[in-house]
Amino acid sequence: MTLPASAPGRIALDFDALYRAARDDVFAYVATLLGDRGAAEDVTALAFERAYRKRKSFDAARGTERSWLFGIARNAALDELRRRKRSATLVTEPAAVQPAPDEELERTLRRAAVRTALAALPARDVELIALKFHAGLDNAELANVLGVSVSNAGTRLHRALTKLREILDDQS
Amino acid sequence: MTSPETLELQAVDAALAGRYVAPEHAELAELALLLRDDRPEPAPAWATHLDRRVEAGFPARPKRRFVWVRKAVPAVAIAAILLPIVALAALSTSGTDDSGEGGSAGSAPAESVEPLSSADRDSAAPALPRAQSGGDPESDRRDTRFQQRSASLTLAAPRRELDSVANQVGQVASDLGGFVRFSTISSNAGGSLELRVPTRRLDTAIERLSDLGRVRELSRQSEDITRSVVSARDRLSDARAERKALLEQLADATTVNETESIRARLDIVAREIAAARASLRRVDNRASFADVRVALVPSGASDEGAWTPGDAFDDALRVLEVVAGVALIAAAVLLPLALIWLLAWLARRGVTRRRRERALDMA
Repeated sequence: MTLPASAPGRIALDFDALYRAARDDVFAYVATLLGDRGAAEDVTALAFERAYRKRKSFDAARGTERSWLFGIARNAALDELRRRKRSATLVTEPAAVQPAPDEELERTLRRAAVRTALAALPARDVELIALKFHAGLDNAELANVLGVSVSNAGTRLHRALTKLREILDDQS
Repeated sequence: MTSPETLELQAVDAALAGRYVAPEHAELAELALLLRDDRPEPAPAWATHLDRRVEAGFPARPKRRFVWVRKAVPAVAIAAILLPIVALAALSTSGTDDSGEGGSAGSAPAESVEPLSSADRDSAAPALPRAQSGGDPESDRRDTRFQQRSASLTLAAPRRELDSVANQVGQVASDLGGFVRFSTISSNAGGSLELRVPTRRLDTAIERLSDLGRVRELSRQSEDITRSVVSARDRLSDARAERKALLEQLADATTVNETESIRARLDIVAREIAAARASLRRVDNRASFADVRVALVPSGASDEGAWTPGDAFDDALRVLEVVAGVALIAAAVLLPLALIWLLAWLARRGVTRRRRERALDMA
């Protein structure tokens, strides 16, 4: 599904490769932002369909394929938030309690604590965490998706991490 | 000097990349790994379903009924705008052609104009001007009436032959005892000539002129000037009669005063006779010579049996002119609409963006 370049300065977009590389990342980002796995599945599918329909409009000069795709996914997720008109709740599915060794149990508890702290963050900070740690974007891609400078994206990310650590400290 | 914020972000990136992290950032690195490892994963069934849709190229959903009607609305709207424009342009084009041929009201259509037959000429022949004969303004007898005649002729000839045809027009006037009173001819665009030919040979002149090109239009005008002729003659006759009477009075005059008075009156009457003669000559000239206005125009494809490259070029130029005119009018209509659409699109885009960000803030 590689497309020929349609205009000077544009490179062919290998949609299949992009899909294979980013499917789980997009789902993770959307699911974290919406806090609803079912809605995340619908929004992720919608985002990839939109990207497929608009694949000829991809312009490499304006950012990487991943940042372009996550921009589409972000719009779809925000449209879903607008449609629902209710606050997104983070994925708070209780982790299955499995009999485990002590160190594994401790890790499970810490993971649950992080989830709880994440749920307490404002949505904008949750989005930053999701883009960075769940979608695996670097700071430049993150800045491109949010439409801010790289330094500003770094500052926001650091601020979100600081808040998260403060919440974790309060919990402990 | 690197700020603590930058150092911590670098530590996060190092932890995610599996590189060494300084001990003071170990806790942050652990948090980064916990966040990365705890990301939601898609259900395999959903992932498989999406994989199939991607492989199929996201097949379109079943089309709803009457979708074509909604899709056709913009095309119909554009057509509704453009069709009147094209129709107006076409009408204006045909109107220009008609008016460009010249002619006067009541003139015969081009299609009906053919070189006159001899029978036509006979029937159309006027009463010959007879300046020397009498005539009663109230009489209906044609042979006693005087007419001033004129004709207008539009001739189409190939552009390259316009000069030659113009010369031949002048030659026709000369051959028939007439002359060219005025002419203006352009090699490319044609022009017009005004001829004076003897009235009795007007029909012959029209016949010969008609042979020089394609007659697009022919009109004839005629005006009865019998009253003017009779009036001029009467004035001359009266003046002559008065002079005759004065001469008789002069012969009988006995005193110097009486003689001088009669001579003075004779001088006046002599001037009146001269003026009457001049007036009679003028009106006689109007009756004796006819005005013929000849318009020469370049012929188009419809005038020629053969369609030359020059005609093709002219036609192509004309088509381009019409197309450019239509495009200009369409642009005048569509550009403001496009501008309004663009502004609306930009406004909608801005509003949508703000609403999305607000939704994130409210989440």
